[in-house]
Amino acid sequence: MPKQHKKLSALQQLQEANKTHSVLQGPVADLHANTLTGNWRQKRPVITMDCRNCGLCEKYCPCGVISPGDEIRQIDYTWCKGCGVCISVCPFAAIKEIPENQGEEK
Amino acid sequence: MKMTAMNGNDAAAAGARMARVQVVAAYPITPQTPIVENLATAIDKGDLKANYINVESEHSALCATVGASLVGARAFTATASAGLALMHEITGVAAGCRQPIVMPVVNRAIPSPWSLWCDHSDIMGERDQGWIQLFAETCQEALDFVILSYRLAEDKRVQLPVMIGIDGFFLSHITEPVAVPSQEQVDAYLPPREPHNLVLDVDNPLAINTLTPPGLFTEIKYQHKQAMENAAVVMGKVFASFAAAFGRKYSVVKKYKTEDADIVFVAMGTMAGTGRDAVDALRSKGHKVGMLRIISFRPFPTEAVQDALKEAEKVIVLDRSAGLGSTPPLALEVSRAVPDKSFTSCVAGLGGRDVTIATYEQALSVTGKTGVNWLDLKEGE
Amino acid sequence: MNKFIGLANGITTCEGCAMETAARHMIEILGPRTIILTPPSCSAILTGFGRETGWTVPSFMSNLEAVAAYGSGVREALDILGKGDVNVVGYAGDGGTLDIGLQALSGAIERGHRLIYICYDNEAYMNTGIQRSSATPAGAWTTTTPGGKRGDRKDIDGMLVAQGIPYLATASASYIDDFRNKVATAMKVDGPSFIHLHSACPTGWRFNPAETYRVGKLAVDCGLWVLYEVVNGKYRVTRKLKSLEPASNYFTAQGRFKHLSRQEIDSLAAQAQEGYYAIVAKEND
Repeated sequence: MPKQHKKLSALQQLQEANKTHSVLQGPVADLHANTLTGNWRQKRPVITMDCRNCGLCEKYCPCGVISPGDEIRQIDYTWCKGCGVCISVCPFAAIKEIPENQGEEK
Repeated sequence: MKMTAMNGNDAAAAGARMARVQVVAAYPITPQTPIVENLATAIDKGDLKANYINVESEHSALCATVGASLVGARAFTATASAGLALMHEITGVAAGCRQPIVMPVVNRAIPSPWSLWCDHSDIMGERDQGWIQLFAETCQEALDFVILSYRLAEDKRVQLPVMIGIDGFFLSHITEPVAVPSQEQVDAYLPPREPHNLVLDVDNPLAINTLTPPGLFTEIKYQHKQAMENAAVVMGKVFASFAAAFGRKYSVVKKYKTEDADIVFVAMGTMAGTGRDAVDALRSKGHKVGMLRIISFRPFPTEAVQDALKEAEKVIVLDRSAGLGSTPPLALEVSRAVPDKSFTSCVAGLGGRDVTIATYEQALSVTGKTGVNWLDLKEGE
Repeated sequence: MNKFIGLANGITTCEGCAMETAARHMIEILGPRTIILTPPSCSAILTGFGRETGWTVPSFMSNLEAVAAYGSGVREALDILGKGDVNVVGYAGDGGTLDIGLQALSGAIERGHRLIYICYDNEAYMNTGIQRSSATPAGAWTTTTPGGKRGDRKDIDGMLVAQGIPYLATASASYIDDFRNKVATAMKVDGPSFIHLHSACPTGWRFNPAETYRVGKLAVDCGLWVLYEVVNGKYRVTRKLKSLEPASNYFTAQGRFKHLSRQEIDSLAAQAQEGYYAIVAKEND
């Protein structure tokens, strides 16, 4: 997901630095977390064209995976756990939930 | 060099002042309190540019010291007895996160019974937490060890905290002449800290002290073990450079008339000084005895001990902590280092009881007795 | 302008975690010149596991009782090293704050360090599996109060106000703009600040993760969790309610209260209303 890479460029730099870094001593983390939490998802929230791009779902998404699109908000399914908070906050009922296996991409 | 009369606590504080510590976080506890009173006064008067944190417990004292060290400050605290026990959880963090903190432990018995007075039961509870542990015998050493410990702790090969054992009252509250180095001398010997490795720095963000899975834990502990081994080597270099700078020579052990001795006493802290007088007294009665004082308890100087004891037939170890349920800690270490010697384990000086020449004479009288021999025990009390 | 991203996405918190939502907004406001301290708790999941961290700022996993103590040392060291502009922020749960961490917190506030302490309150020890804390509300089921908790929660806010903290605020992860404003205010305080964040927990409160936002919002709208701030002792309610939603809706939305009788729920609901008006009355003191 190039977008994600762009977002985390500072951390990527850190990763690069770590390759040449002499080994750190002690309990320390210097790589960014990237567990593919999208694999947890059992139901997939899908933003429909009813979206008015108000951004409330983005604001309350625990995983921080919703971002502004051209016309409607978009979800990054790499990390979306499918909790459904976006569906419950949407004032326009613009987010639908479908079983995960009906999605276009896995 | 200027000679000044000062007690052990003031000497340790003088060492911290001249090491230009930047953060002091401390909680009062007898017999350590004068150290931090001294530093609070120095900071208040502007003699030391540092921030003093009047924490609400020893636990917080060490947490704040670790926090200050993590962002790169030279950090200092001091404690004793129950205070050290309260810090126990954080002594593991300080060492595990490899923070070069220096902390005098003004040795006082761990309750119960409650005691204000000296033994080593407090610091012995920390012996496997991964700190370097040095034991001072004189006020001069209390000052010198604080300064040289920062150089040792901050060495890139070491990066470990140091506890300096200072016998409560016997050293903390007795006054001796101390050669006080000039600030310029100390500055030349101990440059400002250059933080590295695990540092909280917004320009190079790291997450420190993360939960560590079984696949990494052993390797991180192994790094710590290697650092402790490095410390043994670096300590020799630090002692040598200290001697070059200040003219006072230290080593990991201190020998007295061991070369031709049949029997050698082994002890730590102030009771070793009494031991040297005992050696002279006993030699005048025809006993060929010697005295070995252990200065570095962690890392334990196995080879130096073996070397010092190589001519002796018999070894008598006097521990200043009870070691209940097994052999006391110093005896365990020495018997492991020289397993083939005739070996006697003694316990003396608990809870502030004086260790005298008579104590050593009694130790000699139990030579060869198995088990743990408690000296100066008042029968029927 | 690109917003500052302080927290990675692939983090193994529970689905629907309000603590995580709030953390994203918190770090966005605080910015890159921030050091975060988390105790071993749900927020430690953000700080990391093994070689991976969620934060893009420096962070440290403290001991459970010691966030404020470590923070005191970090603050004083930064100041003496000429890095006074760096924010020092503790992000700890209710157990690490109201219970085991209270002594260190109270000490740090009394000394007056410039520290931002944010307590995400999910009303029990959730990371160890839902055990009662002193923040667990009356009647709530936890694994160590199987018949429902007896007695009310500890009034940490009242205690800290009594101690004279320069800035204290309550907040809710379901009123994010209000929370963001309070974080921004805390950053300007020349001294300690405390934000008490109500953080709905689907795992521990027994509701569907999708309902996190609604359950958290109900707590505010029914007057049970009042949004206010206290600046140098002066109360100001930041979300005034024209009318209060029935608090019974809040209790019946969660499995942890399902053993309660109608009568018991009505009694708790009445207390919630009284609590709201008691805070509003303080505003006029």
